[in-house]
Amino acid sequence: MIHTFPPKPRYFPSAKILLNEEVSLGYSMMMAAVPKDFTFAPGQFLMVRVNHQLSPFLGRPMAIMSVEDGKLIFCYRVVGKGTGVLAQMRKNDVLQMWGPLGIPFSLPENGPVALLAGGVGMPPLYSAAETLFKIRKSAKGIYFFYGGRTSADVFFVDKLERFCEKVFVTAEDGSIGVRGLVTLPFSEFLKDRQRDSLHVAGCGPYPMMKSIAEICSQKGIPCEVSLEERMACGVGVCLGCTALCASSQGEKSWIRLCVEGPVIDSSRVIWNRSR
Amino acid sequence: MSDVKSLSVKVGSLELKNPIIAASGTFGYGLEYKDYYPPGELGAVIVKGVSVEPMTGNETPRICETTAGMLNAIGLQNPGLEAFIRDKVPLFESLGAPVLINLFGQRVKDFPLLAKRLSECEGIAGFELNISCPNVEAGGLEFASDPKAVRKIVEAVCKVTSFPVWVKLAPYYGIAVDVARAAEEGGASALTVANTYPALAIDIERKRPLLANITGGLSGPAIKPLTLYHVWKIAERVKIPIVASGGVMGAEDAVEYLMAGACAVQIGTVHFVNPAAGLEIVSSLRQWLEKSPYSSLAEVVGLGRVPSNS
Ligand SMILES: Cc1cc2nc3c(=O)[nH]c(=O)nc-3n(C[C@H](O)[C@H](O)[C@H](O)COP(=O)(O)OP(=O)(O)OC[C@H]3O[C@@H](n4cnc5c(N)ncnc54)[C@H](O)[C@@H]3O)c2cc1C
Ligand SMILES: Cc1cc2nc3c(=O)[nH]c(=O)nc-3n(C[C@H](O)[C@H](O)[C@H](O)COP(=O)(O)O)c2cc1C
Ligand code: FES
Repeated sequence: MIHTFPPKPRYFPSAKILLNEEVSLGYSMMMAAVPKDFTFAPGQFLMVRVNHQLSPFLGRPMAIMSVEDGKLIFCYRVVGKGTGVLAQMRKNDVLQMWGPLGIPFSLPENGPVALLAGGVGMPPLYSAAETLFKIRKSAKGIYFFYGGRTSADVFFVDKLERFCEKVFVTAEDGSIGVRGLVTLPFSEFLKDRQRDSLHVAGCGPYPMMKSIAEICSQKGIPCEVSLEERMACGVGVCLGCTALCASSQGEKSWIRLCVEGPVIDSSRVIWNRSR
Repeated sequence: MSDVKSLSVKVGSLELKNPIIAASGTFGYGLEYKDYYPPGELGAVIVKGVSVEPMTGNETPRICETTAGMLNAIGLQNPGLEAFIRDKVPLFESLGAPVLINLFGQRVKDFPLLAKRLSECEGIAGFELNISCPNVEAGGLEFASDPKAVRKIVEAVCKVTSFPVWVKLAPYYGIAVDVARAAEEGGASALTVANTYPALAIDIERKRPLLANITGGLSGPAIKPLTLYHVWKIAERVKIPIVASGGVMGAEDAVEYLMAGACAVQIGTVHFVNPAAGLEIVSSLRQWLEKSPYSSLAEVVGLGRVPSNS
């Protein structure tokens, strides 16, 4: 495994926005200034408050996509109040942020890796692909499966192709790549290869995480998923972001996704039928 | 050059180096914010509530945002007394601030049981009794709306511990003053005023409550004027010190509570909008006092009080 000891989180009361632009219909990319020594591990996130006002009140969790030379990037989909206000922010406005937070993906130094992203689950896996590529100095064995409902949900494929041996693209409406769910090319991929050493990581909607966990458990492939829950503090104190999990002894317990997640071994998740 | 004025305050017998206290359930077990500032900067820390048995808490969503505040329905998730003593209590001595343990139970006898066992542990400065929970022996009626039960609880706890006992009231109109007096008569050393307000939010797209538990407790700046009202009303009727808790976002809110009659102030939800809030509030309170004509915060307590007209 690549041992990336997650760095200590820090608070940035006013991180200056360097760029905030739409990158695909309904999706934007935010670039903010952070100190040059800021580092993170793929899968970690930030809590972002869009301004110092009382509304929107709570921070929003956002996965870190990349950090280079004091420029931090995250991508977001506009789904509600918080992300709506975020989309209206301009260059030189400031963000209140704290992070990096949470447990990152464990990335193997060698051997094939399959990264499965659904829609706005792409950014943390983008950073996983980029990190793997930089450490291994090769794209060989890095496979990216990237699905959305339509072509608008799938972007930065050209960038990803620099880090990956192959990027498999799917859209439910067939407007780009293969028509269907991302599990389709993934299942095909699993068929014609020896999978002893394959390592799988996923981030996307709950039903997608559940189905890749099922596929991997049937085939005995280790799989990590990044899960979502509403968050308030991001540091483990409010107990808002819990998910039901099993310990290695099979005992059920709630874990806090902001500190014991968001990335978790998929075999530990007790999947909720109603979601 | 004048000496730097001291921020220290006394809550009964407990001396705090400043009046800013982390509120239960918003500061974990004291070390979770250590990457942002040392917890020893605070006047005291009140840790997440503990019960006799472990509690798993509610389904999610457990939290949601509201205008200038939030709702929570965590369901008092905690590891239970024995795991708390094993895993959490040993950390307290390293905090550098006095630690009070927030206790809650479902029966009157749970409270003295918890207090007795925890009084044997090192590193504890006092207890805060959370009475905003249903009493299973009284058909689920909340202790917080039952002055008799509250008096019984406080008497039973004071019998088994020599540590200060604070009682954390619910902000219920009509009954809060009676409960406050019952707690005082039972022997409480101070009152925390108050817990969150029962509240609701509905997702109009999905046409259902936002919280899995349906209702939750409202906290944050939205409640400050409401809790200020309770502090004012209760301060009129009791002699023991009042510790305010509700919606403090900055030093000026803290001063407002002191002027209403509180002698210390808890900060809760503000941690979630600024992880360095504790540090910032203490330092701006220091600046406020320096600029003020007062030589200590004790002089500020009750300054805003004028005779009530009711
Ligand atoms: C660890 C983590 C990393 C994340 N990374 C990203 C990212 O890189 N890019 C990105 O666009 N989003 C990311 N999210 C999701 C993002 O935090 C939510 O979309 C955001 O909080 C919505 O805020 P809002 O005010 O716009 O929406 P709201 O007005 O709060 O809600 C609008 C809709 O969004 C849904 N929603 C709200 N919060 C969440 C949530 N936490 N998870 C899932 N759905 C939610 C609600 O159910 C509702 O339907 C991440 C979430 C987590 C937990
Ligand atoms: C997420 C959360 C969890 C809480 N847990 C507890 C608890 O375990 N025991 C308790 O007495 N109060 C608990 N409270 C109430 C707070 O301690 C505080 O009294 C209340 O939130 C009002 O103050 P505030 O507006 O500064 O947050 C909790 C509040 C929040 C927001
Ligand atoms: S967001 Fe508060 S405990 Fe995870």
